[in-house]
Amino acid sequence: MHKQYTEMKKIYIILTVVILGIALQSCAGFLDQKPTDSTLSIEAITTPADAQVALNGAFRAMSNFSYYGRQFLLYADFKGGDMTPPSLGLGNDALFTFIHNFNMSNFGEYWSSMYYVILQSNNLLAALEEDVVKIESENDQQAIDNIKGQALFVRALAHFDLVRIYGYPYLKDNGASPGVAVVTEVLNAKEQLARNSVAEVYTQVIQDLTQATALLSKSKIELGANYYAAKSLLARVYLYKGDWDNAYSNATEVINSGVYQLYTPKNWLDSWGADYGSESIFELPVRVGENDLALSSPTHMLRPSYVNNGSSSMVASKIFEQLLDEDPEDVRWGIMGNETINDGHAWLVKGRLGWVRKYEKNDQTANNLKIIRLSEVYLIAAEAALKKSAADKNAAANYLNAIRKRSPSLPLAEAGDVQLEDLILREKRKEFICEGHTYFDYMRLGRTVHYDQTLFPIGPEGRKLSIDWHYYKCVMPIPMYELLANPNVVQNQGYDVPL
Amino acid sequence: MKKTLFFVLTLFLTVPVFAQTRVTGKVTSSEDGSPLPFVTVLIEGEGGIGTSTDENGNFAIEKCPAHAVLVFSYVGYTTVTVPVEGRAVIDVVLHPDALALEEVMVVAYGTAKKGTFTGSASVIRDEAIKDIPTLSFENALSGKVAGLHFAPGSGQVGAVSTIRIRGTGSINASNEPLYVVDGVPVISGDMSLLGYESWSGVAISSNNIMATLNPNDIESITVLKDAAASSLYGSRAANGVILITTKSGSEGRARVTFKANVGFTPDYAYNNMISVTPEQNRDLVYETFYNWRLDVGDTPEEAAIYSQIHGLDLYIPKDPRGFFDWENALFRTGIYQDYDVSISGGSQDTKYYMSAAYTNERGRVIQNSMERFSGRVNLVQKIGKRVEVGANLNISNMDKYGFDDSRSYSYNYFYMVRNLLHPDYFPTDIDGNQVKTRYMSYVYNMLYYQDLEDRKSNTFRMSSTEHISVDILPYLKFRTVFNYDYSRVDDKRYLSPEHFAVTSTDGSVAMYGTKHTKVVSSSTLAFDKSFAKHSISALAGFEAEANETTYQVAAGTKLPNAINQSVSAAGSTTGSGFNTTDNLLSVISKLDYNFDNKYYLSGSFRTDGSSRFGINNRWGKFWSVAGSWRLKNEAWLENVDWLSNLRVRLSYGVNGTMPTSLYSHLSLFSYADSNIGGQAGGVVANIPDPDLTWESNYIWNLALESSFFDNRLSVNVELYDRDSKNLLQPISISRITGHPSILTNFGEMNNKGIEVEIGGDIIKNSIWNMSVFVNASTYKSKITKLYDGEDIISGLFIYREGYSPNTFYGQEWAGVDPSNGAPRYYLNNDSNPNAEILNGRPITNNRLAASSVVIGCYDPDVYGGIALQIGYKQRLSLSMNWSYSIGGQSFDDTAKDNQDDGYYSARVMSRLQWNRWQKPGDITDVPRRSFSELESGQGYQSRKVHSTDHIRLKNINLSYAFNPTMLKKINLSGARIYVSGMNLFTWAKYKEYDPEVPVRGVRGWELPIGKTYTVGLELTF
Repeated sequence: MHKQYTEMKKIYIILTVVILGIALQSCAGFLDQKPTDSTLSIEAITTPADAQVALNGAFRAMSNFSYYGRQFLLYADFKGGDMTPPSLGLGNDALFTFIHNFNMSNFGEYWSSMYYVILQSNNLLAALEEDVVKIESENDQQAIDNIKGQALFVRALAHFDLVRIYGYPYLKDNGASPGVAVVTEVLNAKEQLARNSVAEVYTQVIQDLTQATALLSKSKIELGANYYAAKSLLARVYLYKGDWDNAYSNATEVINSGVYQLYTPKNWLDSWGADYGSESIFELPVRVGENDLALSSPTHMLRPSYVNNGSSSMVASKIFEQLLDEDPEDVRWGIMGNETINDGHAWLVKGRLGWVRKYEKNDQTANNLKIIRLSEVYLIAAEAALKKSAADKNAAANYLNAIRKRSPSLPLAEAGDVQLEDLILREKRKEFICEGHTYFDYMRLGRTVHYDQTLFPIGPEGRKLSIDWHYYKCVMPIPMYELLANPNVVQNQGYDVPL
Repeated sequence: MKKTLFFVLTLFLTVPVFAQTRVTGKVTSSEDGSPLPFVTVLIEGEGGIGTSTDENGNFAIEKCPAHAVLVFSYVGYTTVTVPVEGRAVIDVVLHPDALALEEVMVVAYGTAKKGTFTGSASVIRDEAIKDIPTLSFENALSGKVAGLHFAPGSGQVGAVSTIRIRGTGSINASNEPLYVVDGVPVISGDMSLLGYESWSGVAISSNNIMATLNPNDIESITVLKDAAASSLYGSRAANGVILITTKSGSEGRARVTFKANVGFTPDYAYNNMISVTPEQNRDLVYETFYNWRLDVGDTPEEAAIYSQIHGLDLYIPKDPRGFFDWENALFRTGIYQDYDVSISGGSQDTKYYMSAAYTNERGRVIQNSMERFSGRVNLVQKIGKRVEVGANLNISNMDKYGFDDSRSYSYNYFYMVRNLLHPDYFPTDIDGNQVKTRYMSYVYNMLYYQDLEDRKSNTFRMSSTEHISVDILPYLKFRTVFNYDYSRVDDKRYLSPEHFAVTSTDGSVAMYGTKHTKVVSSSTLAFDKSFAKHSISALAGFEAEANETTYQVAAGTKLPNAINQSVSAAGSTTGSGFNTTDNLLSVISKLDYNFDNKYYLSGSFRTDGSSRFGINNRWGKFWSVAGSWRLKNEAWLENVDWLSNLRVRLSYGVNGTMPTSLYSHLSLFSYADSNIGGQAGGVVANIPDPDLTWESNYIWNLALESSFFDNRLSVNVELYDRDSKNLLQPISISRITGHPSILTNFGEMNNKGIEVEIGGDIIKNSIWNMSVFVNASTYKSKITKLYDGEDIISGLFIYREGYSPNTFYGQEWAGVDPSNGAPRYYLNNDSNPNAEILNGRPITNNRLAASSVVIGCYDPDVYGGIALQIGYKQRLSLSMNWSYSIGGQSFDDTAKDNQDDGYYSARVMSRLQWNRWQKPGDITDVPRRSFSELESGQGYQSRKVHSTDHIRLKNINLSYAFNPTMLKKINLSGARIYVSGMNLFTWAKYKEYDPEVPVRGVRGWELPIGKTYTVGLELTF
């Protein structure tokens, strides 16, 4: 009996030792777990390839729903009066009606999604600054320079887009009013930055882009930004700033480089069925299984219901239709389709061409986002030529006509045309519908935007039939979540109803 | 008396075998000496051979083996075993149940006698579960345990329901109790990747992993409520612990039980969003357009023409066939079938329980159904005198089809019939062809399209638990348990190229796999010894747990045809997959001391190390102390006859809740969903808090247990006070940082409550018995500390200091203006000094101009259950379980659709909208309907807050057991038939929808639960 106990005790002791031994040995590792689709941040960027991955992440963030993927893309078309919701309740009404109060959560995602992109860029730039990335060859150095230049480009573009949404146009008060916070480093959780002035934001954007041009490669690339993308964006920024000379020099450098070619009137239409065309200076790829927004995509939003059950929540306005109708032979009619047939919106006239088919490559919803095209650079050059210190109306007319040729029945513009600026802006509207320009162009020049409200009547709480930069809602309200979390940020005037 | 009898009889256990003889005797009650009829008398180990007493309490067993042991059992009395010892006459006195004081129940890491346990725990036995037709056991707990609140998820088959024990203790971490099956913590809840609709959080598919456990295999369920009972489960115990023990075999001949039941669910349990009539519907659509046209400046004539042409004729053109009954076409009588066979038995050294079951449920929605096969083997084998090994093996396979509770106008049939499918729509055109085009209200003809899609989900689970226990010394026992639990959910979503949703992609198919494996190893050493009047038991142990979850998705579009439904057949494919791991290490210990069965003290301590935390705060300490005093055993109460038991208990302790997120303490660079242009991408995904730690709960519990009149009446009262600290709170930070928030331990919350349980045997005699059990719980949840004291508004809910976490927040409805039918809201701010005044307060017609205020709260004031049981001659029994709730509120999230005041222009409305304002002077609560009314039907507002006061007959059961003497002739040892009903009767204060709303009170478009009628049969061989 006693012996048995002893044996049992032995067994027990052995068992205990074994179990505890295994346990204690594996203790440390056992409790250190992480997911398989992430890595620890401090180990993430150590090679040029890692840096490229981080840069890709920033581009991906830029193509998300709340930014270029959809919401930012349609912002300037609804607000610019080129597009209208065909009926109530389709989700983005407020961009058309301007019923975007400070306490409404919708449309607050511009702010967060753009700062998210800035974070990705700053995180990458910080890693490159800290010299944790191993550079083993001249090729590595070039790759790193190129990545750094693109990170600066991304940071500049996101700041520029933020200030276009939340800050008054530069020329309204020479950038004196509040813009957005300029962020050039990775912030810690407790930091609460105040808004910089519009002018300070422009200064930073121009500085980043200028620095980027010194680093970027000049060859044409697909995913990513090169030297000319930075130059084109610089041209755009200077144009918004009213620095016509610099806008002109940057735009003409891009045009004269010959790296990009305008679509001919003949192949203009085909360009919408292809990626990375000869005009494409900065383009974000969209692919199925990656960032394709499918039923939330601009494609689906624009489509009428008879085409794959599109939601038809955005159609071209009568104003735009009339503009394009200046020339019934305009090649750009080619992307316009029948908005109705069989559709629920009875108040629409049957057969109207209100469906914009710029995002219909192979009938799929995954369509690359063409963010900077050579046509824009031409029109920047045209406008800048007109207004630069040594005004050059001939150049202005020539650059405009390069695009205006797409309306074969219209007479070419001439240097003597009094309304050359008007012609340039009208051309830009026709050319860039659904590419996010009109509203910003009208606002930056202090012009008045008119709206077509036949499809969508607006009540008294919405905007008036036409607006300009004096209307307090010409900019978006700073989202409430920012005001609550950050006492240093001030609301835009008119929106600052007590909380 | 009983003890003495037993003791004396036990002495003769080893008397040699005699021949078989006839044994007779009489059974009487100890209470009044009256004979007890219908007492079951069985020969132990002979699997049901025996008889029962007659009207006069007499019994006779022919050919009774002389060494046999007779088992006398009778409901309400303690079962007695009597060895025959060769006697021919055996008279037996039965004592009423000592009301469970001596009842042994399963508790954390062991068992305890109910009367001596220092913690707060409730036990539910298999009898209370067995006749309820339910896929998973949670349903059966409703109303039975004080302090346990049950909320059904949905009426779809296989839906996950919610259990809350003693209120809400957390805002961001889990509020789910921990489930422990046969001593091993298990995963619970929904495991499907297809799971939730991302934007609304509403279930598309719901896979209750607990449904893999066949309720018929459950022997008992113990609900642990206070710290003394649950702190041994440490970091996961704060929301209570539910211990499930499965059946085991007992010594004797193999006992085969066959059970079958069939249930029918022809209808909902209560009214649910009843619509206007088809005729009224046409009137409303017309009126909505008409009023709108007047608003935009049409003359009445123009408006009339417009509304006819662009309203009625366009949206709901008249069909010569009249109206179509979509409800009838898309819904059916649900049928539940369950067949279960179990075999149990054993010898002195081996005991087994085996079961196999098949369950099939066809839901009320015509394409919703499920099927389950499950099998279990529980085996215990003794090796020598000191060693016991055992294995419990459970395998279960479930297939589920066509589940959707989301607000999807393409798939949720309930939403369709109540809001989108006008009765004027027909599934076929006049020529009899299927309608394939979209109806004007954005829905499609699902009678056609449902055959072009497939939504299914397969759940497979295998769990094996092995144990070895060694009696090292008579008072020292070593036990080690090893568990491997494998579960996998495979969801499939297929849409044929012909399906309307995927015409642009030529069909789509997606396969989602979620695999979870869990390995638990637990070893404990238990000491148990009594000397003189002292008894001590102690336990120390070590536990390790490793979890791994793997997710995989494969999806494809551009399908070649409508026949091949696999991803590999697709023209364009995508895939994704990753896995997560989550580990826990623990050391546990407890000590119980008892002096003279009067004074009890206990303590427990557990330390947990979790991989969910950084190195700084990885280890947490959880403990409890408790004491109880059994006053009845004091000399000065011993002679108080009317008092059968009196005991007080007091406990205090700390336990915890883990964060739901596994990696919040790490700064991660994530590659998921960051690729672009065919290249990998990565992003900074979070701002970590390396000091993240457990949410801790500090719980006081005071209880008084009493029973009177020979245990005929029992009254238990418990009071608790639960302080939850270090609540995980995502603190909003400036988004200029690129991040929305940082998860930090900050908030604090308190739950206080009282629970009362009263049970009584109203009638108890040899013919009749009748007992009633009532429980009532009340609690107050209150947030006591938030970051910066600032409110957190999260959709409908506001987290505010001093308020419950289930508080609704929105605009305050002020009724309809009788002069013009405009909606009115109390402004609740001073933005408009010229505002109109109503009841002394400024009002507005624009909902968005009004400030939000607290408009309601989900928490009930009192809730609980009432159980009534009536038995007649041990044969016939009727039981009823009621559940009730008073003082709670719900929010009607469907109102934005079916009480839209005109917003959607032409949808089917709730019958409430028929009361809309029509002309000046109308006093009503429904505004004038107009297509231009954009706000009054939308958003969070008090107009949509309704009472959930109700009482419901959850279950009624009538069962009849056949006379065993008669059954013996057909070789049966038992037979029972029963009929039962679930949710047959409901009284609710608010009449528009089922008052048993999902947890937190938001009533959406999930399918309401039904009324079920069941018939069942149980045979024992």
